[in-house]
Amino acid sequence: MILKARNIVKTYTGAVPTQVLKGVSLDVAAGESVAIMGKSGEGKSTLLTILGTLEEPTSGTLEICGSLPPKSDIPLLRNQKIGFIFQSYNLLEDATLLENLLLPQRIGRQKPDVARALALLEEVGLKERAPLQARFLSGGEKQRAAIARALMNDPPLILADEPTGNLDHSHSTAIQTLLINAVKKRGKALILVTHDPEFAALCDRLLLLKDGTLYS
Amino acid sequence: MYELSFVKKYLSPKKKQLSVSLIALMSIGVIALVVWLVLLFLSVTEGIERTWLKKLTALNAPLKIQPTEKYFSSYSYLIDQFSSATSYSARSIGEKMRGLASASYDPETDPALPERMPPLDRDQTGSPIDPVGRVSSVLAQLQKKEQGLAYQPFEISGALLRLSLIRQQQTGDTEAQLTQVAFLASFAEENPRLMDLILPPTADDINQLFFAAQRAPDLWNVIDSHISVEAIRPFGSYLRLPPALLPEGVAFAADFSSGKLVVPATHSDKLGSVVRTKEGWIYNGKPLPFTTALLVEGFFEWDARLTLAHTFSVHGQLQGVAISGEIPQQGVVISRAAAKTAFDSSPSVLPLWPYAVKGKPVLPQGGVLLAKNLQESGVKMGDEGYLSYSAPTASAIQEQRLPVRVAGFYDPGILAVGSKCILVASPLAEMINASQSAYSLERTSASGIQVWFPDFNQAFAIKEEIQRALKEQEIDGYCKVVTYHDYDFAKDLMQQFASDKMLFTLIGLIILIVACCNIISLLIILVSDKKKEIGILQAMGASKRSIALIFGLAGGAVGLISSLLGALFAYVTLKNIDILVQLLSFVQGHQAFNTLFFGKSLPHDLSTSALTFVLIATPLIALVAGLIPASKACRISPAETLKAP
Repeated sequence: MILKARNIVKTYTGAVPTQVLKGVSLDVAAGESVAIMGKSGEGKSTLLTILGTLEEPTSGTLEICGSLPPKSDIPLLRNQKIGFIFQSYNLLEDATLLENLLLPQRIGRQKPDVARALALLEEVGLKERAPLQARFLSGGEKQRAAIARALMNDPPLILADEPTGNLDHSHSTAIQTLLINAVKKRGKALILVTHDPEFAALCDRLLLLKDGTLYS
Repeated sequence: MYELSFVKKYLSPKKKQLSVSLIALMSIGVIALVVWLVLLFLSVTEGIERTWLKKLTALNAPLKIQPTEKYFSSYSYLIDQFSSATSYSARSIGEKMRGLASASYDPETDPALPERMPPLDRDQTGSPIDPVGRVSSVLAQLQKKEQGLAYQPFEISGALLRLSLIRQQQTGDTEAQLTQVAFLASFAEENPRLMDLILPPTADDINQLFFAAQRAPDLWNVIDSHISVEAIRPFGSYLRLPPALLPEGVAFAADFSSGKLVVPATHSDKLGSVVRTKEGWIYNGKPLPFTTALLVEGFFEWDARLTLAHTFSVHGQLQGVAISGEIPQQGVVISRAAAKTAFDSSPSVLPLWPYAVKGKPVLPQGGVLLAKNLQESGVKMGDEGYLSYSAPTASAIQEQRLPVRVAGFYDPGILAVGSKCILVASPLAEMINASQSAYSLERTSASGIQVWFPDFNQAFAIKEEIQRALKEQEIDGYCKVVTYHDYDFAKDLMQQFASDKMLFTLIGLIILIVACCNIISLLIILVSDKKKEIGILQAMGASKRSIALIFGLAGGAVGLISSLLGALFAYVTLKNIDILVQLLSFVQGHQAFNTLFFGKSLPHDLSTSALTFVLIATPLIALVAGLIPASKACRISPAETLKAP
């Protein structure tokens, strides 16, 4: 099992404490794609950031590839085992596409594999754009570059948070196909948060997050 | 290290991040300015301290070994007073080191020792202790180990100096007397820097030598051998020229109203003209015989050299016309001349001033060296007189007189007794001391051994080494080792310098900290600006430590760049400090720095210790300043910054 989450609870403290997740449990196997849908504000993104170790749950356990390392090793786990794709792309705008793709390797203190980066860029149709700064790309191109970056360290788990949310229909379809194919081809586990039923339908499983609970 | 590439990216000026770039430039400028100021002050202070230390340790060696009371009450010291071989008088340390006496007491012929006489000191092995001999061997051993180390016994005594100042005047010779109570210190031939302190004979001294040679013709030998005359000028307002000096047929402006031909040094159209012919002068067309005196009026200086006949062969200009020829000594004085002071081997004709043979100073026999302020008071090389001191005889205390001649002058630096210290040959000082003169000095500080070494910063290390060796030799009770830090007349100055340096280092540190606070604001703005990027890096697996490192290093880099810039400015400023001083003096309307204290010019060298301090402290403070924004950067939640807007 690539991901195993048990009874994940997230409560935001404040003047009025809000429990966003009320005991979510989820298993995702290698090569399996899971779509999570739900209304805005239901906690889909929060669940995804918790599953991606960017945020800690209030309670519950999480295992990625069979374990969860100590807190100090979490960044390395994130670097090696998880690929993120965000709605707002989150590329380094003043870095070139190639630099953006090599960033996960540099952070992981690995020798930058330029050939792999160029191959991935070719796969997403952006090889020619490799020396361009990210800020000169269109939204669709940026998201394709973000997919390539997520695959750069060959992580077993890909987390995508509304990757087509900022794109028009034609671009959105292209990205959906590209992401699903790339993940399937490599046997990666994918957890996709989306509002788009068509996109969700491309996944192996569809889950609904409602009132902090995950329903099949 | 990807962190460094992010530091570079964040600190590079960019239009897109104009405010951050401006603040970064401002921070670098302010810190560089502070670094410049700190380096400049510390370098100048250290330079002045070094100059003073040089002065201090030039005449007073950086280290001295002085006898203690135990030495003076020891058998080894007292025994000479009962020995006929030593004329029943105590021997000085110098005499003992030169092997002139000691252990020469003969119970058969010499008087019996008094009961109060201490027994001969012996060491743990039972061998008799000769403190001076053992100190000598300790120093000889050390000399083999420490390159450039030199040592010599010294003696300080007191006497009355009386000098007769005979001067040549236009109206005739005059004589004046100078009387001064003086301390006599030994002329230390072993002192490697002594020649730097001795002033070479001036033109005035050489004139006095020429004047003396008129009464003592033997002196011409010395003059011919070692003096090279370079230029002369008239002694008074007029100089009578030999007719042959003026070229024939050339007209010179002249006045004849006084019955003498007076030629001004510079041309004047208002006067008549005189022309030299084969037969005599022609003044305004009127012939005059050569017996009519021709006087040059006004100031001029002509290149000259001394001829074998002791006249001057001159080349110069009179009213813009080149003249050359020989003139007698009368009526002229030497304005430029050089006396030879360095020889490769002992010269056959001995100079009358201090000189060096293969770098080793030699004081002429019977000569004494006076402090340079006496030269400013009118004493000249060659002045003669005597040293007067009291010596007890069998029935009374009698005045003794030792004839002396002023051989030259030296720079006493910051010697406590200043102008009152005369350098004399060691035996002279020892003799006067031994005579128990009326000038009783503290005997533990009036004699001892001076030790010189190339770097006075070694003083403490060498002191410790000598002390260890003295202890091993079991003579540490007989003498004490003191460095220039302990000299009474230097202690206050040294402490003041140390306090000044410490105070300014502290002030500099505080200003640096304040200046580095700019970095905090710079980086806090940068962190707010780069929140999203920090989130991206964290999502890609960057640890909190890496994020902190980026901003900490950014702070350190600003500090390092600023220190290097400040150091470069300080170096350039120090190399051109004279211009700065001139500017300050001009602005203030008077001399900005007193030459008595600061020297002829301010130090030009960048202090390495100050540079090290600044190059370590500034980036370090900047790094610490960077840690505050760095901790803020660490606390940024990637989940918050990366979630869809």
